[in-house]
Amino acid sequence: MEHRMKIGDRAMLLVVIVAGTTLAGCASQSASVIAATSTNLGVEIGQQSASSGPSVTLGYKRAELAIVPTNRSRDAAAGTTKDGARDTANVIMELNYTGTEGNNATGGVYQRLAVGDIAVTQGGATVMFAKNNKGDITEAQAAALKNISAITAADPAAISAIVPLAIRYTSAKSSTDAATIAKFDTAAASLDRSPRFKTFEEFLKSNNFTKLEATNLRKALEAASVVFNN
Amino acid sequence: MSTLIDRVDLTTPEVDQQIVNLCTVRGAAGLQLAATFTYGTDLVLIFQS
Repeated sequence: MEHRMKIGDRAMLLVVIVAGTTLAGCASQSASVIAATSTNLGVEIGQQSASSGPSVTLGYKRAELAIVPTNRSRDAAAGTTKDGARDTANVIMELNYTGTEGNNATGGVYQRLAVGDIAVTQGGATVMFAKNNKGDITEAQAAALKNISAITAADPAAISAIVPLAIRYTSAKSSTDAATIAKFDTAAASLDRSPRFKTFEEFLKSNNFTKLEATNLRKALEAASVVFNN
Repeated sequence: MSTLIDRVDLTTPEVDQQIVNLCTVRGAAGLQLAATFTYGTDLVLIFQS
């Protein structure tokens, strides 16, 4: 569920998740997971100068409540039931608060909330959380959703090995150290690839390099007198 | 504008450090983290220049 507000001055979100709360009158006396949020926005009226008209910022107050029933009982064995409250209490939420000062047309507040294992992993939640703060799914995000299973997971060992080089390269770029940048580009171009990388940035943007390539790259750079701090 | 999409298995050890490392490497290439979302046990990261 998503709520968007175009005008606001102050916002406060409170999320309370209570496990083990029972609905009154519920015959099974089973526990529920309750996720509650409330949002309060202020009202501000003012005038910047004698020549300008008054400005008014409207307030907004709302609350929402999600009650997720579970099969967990309240007795001494509570918490031991398979697939009970402990397994359904996952909550995923997001609060975005951007540029709401004055009458900023692009600003706003939105929040997203999903409760339960299914809610936080199924496709609907994925689509919901893929939306940007305008409620749109960009072309890139749509492509990601369409081909998500084809996206190659980054190799943690390779990424970790390349971090010191990335930091050193960033430092060279920040200080416009053209000589060092050229050494990085030359080293990247020396990797045995077809087609070969033209620049080090092109290498960094690839998501299929190996730890061995990262190691060889560092050796080539050190041979070219590039010093690394780590 | 160029876009690069990565995915990280959230169940792997030291996943936080993995994400930081990924952002460092992509950041050096001039890419910034534009959006993230979960897909099952994976975190999908969208980087854009």
